[in-house]
Amino acid sequence: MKQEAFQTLYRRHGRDVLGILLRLTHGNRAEAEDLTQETFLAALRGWKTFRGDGTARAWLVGIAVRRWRDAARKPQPTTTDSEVLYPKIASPEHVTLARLDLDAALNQLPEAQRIALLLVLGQGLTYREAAESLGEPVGTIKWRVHEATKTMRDLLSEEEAL
Amino acid sequence: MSCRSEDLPLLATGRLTGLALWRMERHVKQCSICQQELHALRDLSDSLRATLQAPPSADLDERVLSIRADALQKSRASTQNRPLGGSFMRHPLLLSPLLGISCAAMFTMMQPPAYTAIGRLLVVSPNKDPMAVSTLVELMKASDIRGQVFERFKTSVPTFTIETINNTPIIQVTGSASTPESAGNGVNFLMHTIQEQVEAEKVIVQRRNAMPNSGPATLPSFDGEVRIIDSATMPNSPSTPGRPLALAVGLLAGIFLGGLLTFFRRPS
Repeated sequence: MKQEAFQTLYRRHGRDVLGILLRLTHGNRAEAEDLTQETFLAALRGWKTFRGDGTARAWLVGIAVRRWRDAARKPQPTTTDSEVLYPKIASPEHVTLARLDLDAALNQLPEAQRIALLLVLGQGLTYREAAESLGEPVGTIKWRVHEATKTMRDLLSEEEAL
Repeated sequence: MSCRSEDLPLLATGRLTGLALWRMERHVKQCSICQQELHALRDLSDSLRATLQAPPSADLDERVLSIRADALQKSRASTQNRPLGGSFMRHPLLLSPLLGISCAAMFTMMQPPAYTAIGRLLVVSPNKDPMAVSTLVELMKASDIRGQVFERFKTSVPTFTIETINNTPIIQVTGSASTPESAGNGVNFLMHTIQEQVEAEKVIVQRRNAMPNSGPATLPSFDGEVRIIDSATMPNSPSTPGRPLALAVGLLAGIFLGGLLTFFRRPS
C-alpha cells in the first residue's frame, strides 16, 4: 500500500476505529489509542488480504474488534474516566425510574449485545460483517441486535416518559 | 408481507441492498408499525454514530502516520534475510509441486513392484471341436499344474491368468511376479508343462485303446495339440505401480494439500 493511500485510510476511518475502541475499552483512551495504532499496523501488513467484498471501514473495525478481544483478558479498568463516561445505576430496581441517557442505557446491555449493537447500528456494519469481525454466527448477531434494540427502546422510552 | 423486523436496522443504516431493500421499502410504506420502528432505529443509529466519532490525539496521529516507513523497512529487511522456506510458507501453493512429487515418490515406494509376462498357446484340434479351447482352459485351471509351478518357483510364485482371445484357438497366459525372471520363466514353464501333459494324455489314451479287450474306446478329454506360438519375455519395467498413475495421484494430492494450507491460513 502506498503511503498516501495509507494516510488517507487513517484520516478517513481513524475516528471510527478509535470511537469503537473507546466504547469497547470503557473509555480508556490510552488503551484505545494503542489498539488503534495496532489496528492500522495490522491493516498495513494485511492489506493484501482485504477482499474488497465489504467496506474498508467494516474491515478495519473487524481488525480493531479482534485486537480488542486479544487484549481483553486484562481486568476491567476502574478509572475515573470510565465511571464518568458510563455511570452505573445504583440498584436494579431503580432502572425503570431513573433518567437514562444513551451511554448509561448502553451500559445496561450485556456486553455481547452492546458490541453487536455498536457494530451494526453505530458503525453501520451488515450482520455478516459484524459476525465475521466477532467470529460469531450471523443468526447470533441478528438476535443480539434485535434484543439490544428492544431493550434500548424500552429504556429510552421510559426516560422520555419521565 | 409479514414484518421482517430483523432487516429494519440495516434499512436504518443504509446497508440493506438488492431485493431485500426493495421488499422492505415497499413494506414499510404500508406498515405504520415498521415506520415508527424505522424512525426510532434511525434516531438511535444517528446518536450512536455521533458518540462513536472520537477525534484522535496529536500523539496518535503522529504514531500512526509514522508507521509506514518503519513497517516497510522492517518488512524489507526481513524479506532479504528470509530463507527460501519463508517464501514457500507465505505462498503455500508454491509447495504444491514439491508436495506432489513427494507424494508420488512415497506412493511408488509403498507399492511393491510387480512384473508381468505374457505367453500364447495355439490349440490345434483335428476334428475342429469348437469346445476344444474351452475344454483345455478348464483342464489347465483344474490340473495340478499350479502345484508344479509352486514346486519350481518356491520363493517367487507367479500368479497366473488364463484366458481365450476373441473366439480364436489362442490361449493367453499372463503371469505376474515380484521379479522379471519369475514372471517370464513362470509363464514359459507353465506353457511347456501344459504341452507335456497334453502329449502324455494322448499317449496314455492311445495305449489304452490298443490293449485287447479294452472295451469301448474311450475318448480323451482333450484330443488335440498345443503349440507355443509366443514365448514370454522378461519384462523390462514393473507393470505396477504405473509411473503415470503414481505421478498423477501424487500431484493431485500435493495440489490438494497446498490448497488446504492456503485456505486455513488466517490473516492477522
